[in-house]
Amino acid sequence: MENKKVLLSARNLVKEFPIGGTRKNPQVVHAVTDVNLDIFQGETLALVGESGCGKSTLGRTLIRLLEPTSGEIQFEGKNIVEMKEAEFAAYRRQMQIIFQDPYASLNPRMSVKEIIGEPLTTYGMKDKGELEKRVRGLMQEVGIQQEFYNRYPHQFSGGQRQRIGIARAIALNPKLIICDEPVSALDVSIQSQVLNLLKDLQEQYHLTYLFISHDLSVVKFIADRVCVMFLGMICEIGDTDSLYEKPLHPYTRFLLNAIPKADPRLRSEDKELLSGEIPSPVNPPSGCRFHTRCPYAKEVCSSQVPPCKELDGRKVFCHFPLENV
Amino acid sequence: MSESIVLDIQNLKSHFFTMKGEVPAVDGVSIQVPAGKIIGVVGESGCGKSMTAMSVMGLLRYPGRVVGGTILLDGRDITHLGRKELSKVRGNEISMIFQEPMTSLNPVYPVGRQVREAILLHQKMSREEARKQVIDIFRAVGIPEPEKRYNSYPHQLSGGLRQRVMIGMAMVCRPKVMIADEPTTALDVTIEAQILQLMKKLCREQGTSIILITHNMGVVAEICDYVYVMYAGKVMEQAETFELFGNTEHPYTRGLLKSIPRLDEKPDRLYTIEGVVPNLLHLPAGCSFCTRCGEATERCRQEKPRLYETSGGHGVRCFRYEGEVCLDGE
Repeated sequence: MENKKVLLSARNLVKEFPIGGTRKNPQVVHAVTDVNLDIFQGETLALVGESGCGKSTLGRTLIRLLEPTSGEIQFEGKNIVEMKEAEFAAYRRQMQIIFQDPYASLNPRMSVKEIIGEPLTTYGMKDKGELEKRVRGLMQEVGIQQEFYNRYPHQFSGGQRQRIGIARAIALNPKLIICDEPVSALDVSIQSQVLNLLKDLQEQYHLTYLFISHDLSVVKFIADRVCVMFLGMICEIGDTDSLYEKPLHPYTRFLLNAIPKADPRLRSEDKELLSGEIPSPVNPPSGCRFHTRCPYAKEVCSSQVPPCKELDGRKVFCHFPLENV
Repeated sequence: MSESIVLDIQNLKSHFFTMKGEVPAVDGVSIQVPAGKIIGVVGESGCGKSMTAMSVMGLLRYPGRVVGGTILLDGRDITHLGRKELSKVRGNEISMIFQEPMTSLNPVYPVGRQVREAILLHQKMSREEARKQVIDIFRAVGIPEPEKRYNSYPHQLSGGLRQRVMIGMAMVCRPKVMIADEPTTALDVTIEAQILQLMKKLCREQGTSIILITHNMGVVAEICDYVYVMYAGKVMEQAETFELFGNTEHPYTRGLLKSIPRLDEKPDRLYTIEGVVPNLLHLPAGCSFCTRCGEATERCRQEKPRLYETSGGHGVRCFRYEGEVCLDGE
C-alpha cells in the first residue's frame, strides 16, 4: 500500500442486541465489542471468523445499516454516527454492500433494469435515456448480456445474480464496498469468475473492499490485510502474507490448520484441532474470550482482556502471542 | 480394487419426468464401494451427486424415478425393493446423513429418543438396553455429557453437536455403508475439521464404508480413498485420491482444481472455467462438457465419449484418453 490514507475508521465500536430478560437484568447479545479498525483507501481488508463472531454485524454497523450502540465511525475524517439522515445521504452513496445470498437480496418483482437503476434514480438521475445508457454500461461492466435488460432475477443463475448485485453496488461510484460473503453461495467454477470480476473492478474504479468471509483460501487470494475476529472481538490484524505465514494469535493458527487443503499430500493424521464449541455471545467468557478453547490459556487470560500488542507490524490481542510460547 | 465390494452401483439412471421433458439427472453412473473405505463424489450443484445418493436410498420421489441400472448391496439387488423390505435395509444396513442437521431432526422429540427409535426399529431390544446403546454411541461420536444430552431437544444443541447426533443415528445399527450428503457444508471450519476426523475414525474402527458427497475438493483430499468427479449426471473422472490429485487428466477436473484459491500461492487472477453448467434438458449432442472445454474438438461436439481406463482404476471420460478398456459398464 503506497498511500496509507485512512478511508474509514472505527473507534471503540460496540453493537449489542437486546434479547429480553427482565428490566432489572436485561439480556443482550454482545455482537461487536470495543472494536478499533482502520480501512485504508484502495485496499481489501478481509474480516474472517466463524459464524456468530460478529463479522457481518460489524460490516453492517460500519456503514450504518445497523446503528452502533456506542463508539465512533469516521468516514474520510467525518464522524458519521451522529449525522442526521439528510446529511448522511451524501456519505451513504459512497458506501455500498454486496450480500451473501443472491437469491434473497434481489427483489423478485423487479427486472434487472429496475434493480440496477434504483440507486441511480434514488440519487436523482431523471433522464430515461441517460439511465438506460448507464444501466447497460454497468451490465456490460459486470458481464451480463445486453438482451437480459428486461429479465427478472428468477431467470438467472446464482453467479449471474451475484453479478447483478455487484452492478447495483457500483452504480453510484462508491468508495467503499462491503462484500458480505459474496461468493460462499456459489459453485467453485463460478466463484472464481466472480472473484476475478471483483478484483478487476477494484483496479478500474479504485474501490476499497471490506471483504467478509469464512473461507480463508478465498481471503488469501483477494485480501491485502486480514482481520480475524472471535466472538465480537478482534484477535489479530495484519498483512495477509505474514499472517498466513506466521500467525501470532493461537486462534488464527487453529483456523488455518482446520482448512481442508485440496492436496492429499498435505494430509496429516494428528492435526492439531480446536476442541469444543463457540461460547455464547450472550454470556461471553471473561477476560480473553478465546480462553475457554485455547490450549495455551493461563490464569491471566480468564481475568484480563488482552491488550493490543504490535509485533512485526501486526496487531495482536493476546496475552501470550505465539512467538513467546 | 481387489477388496470386497459392499455397495455396487451399476450404470444407474435416474430421470425426472417434468412438464418440460425428461431430465436425465443421473445418467449411467457406476460406483463401487469397497469395505471400510471412504469414497468421495464431487461435483458442482446440479451434477447429480445428491440424486445418485437418493436413488440408492430409495428416496427418489415423483417426478423422479430410477429408470435403469442396478444397485447391489452385498450382492443383493436393492434397486426395486418394496417399501416394507426397503425399510428393513434403510437405517440398518445402509444409512444417510444430510447437509442441514436441523431440518433432518424432529424438533418436538428429544434427540436421544430419535436415535433410540432407529435401534428399536431394527433390533429386538428393550428400551432400557437401547437407551444404553444410544448413550454409548453418543460417547463414541464425541458428544459431551451424553446422559444429559439424551434428553435435549435439537434446538438446544449447536450445529456441530446436531451433526454428531445425526452421525450417531446413522451409525447406531452399524451399517455397512453410510452416505453423507454434504455433511460439513453448513458447519464452521474448526467444527468441520472435527466432524471429518470423526468420520475417518468411525470408518476405521467400525469398518463402515462411507460415500461422501461434497462440492469441496479440500474435503475430498483430506479424507477420501477414492474419488468420483461428476458433471451433468455423468462420472467424468474416477481414480484413487492421490492419483486424481497428482495426475489429473480430465479437463473439467483440472479446471476445477485450478480455479480453487490455494493457501500456498497467490496468483493475480484465478483460473476460470468459462460459461455455466448446461441445462440437463438441452445437453450437447457430444460430450456434456464440450461447451466449456478449452480443448474440445469437432468430435467432442458430435460423439459421446466413454469412461476410458488410463491406468489401474483411473477412468477418464474424454476422447484424448481413448483406449480399449472402459469403466462405465455401458
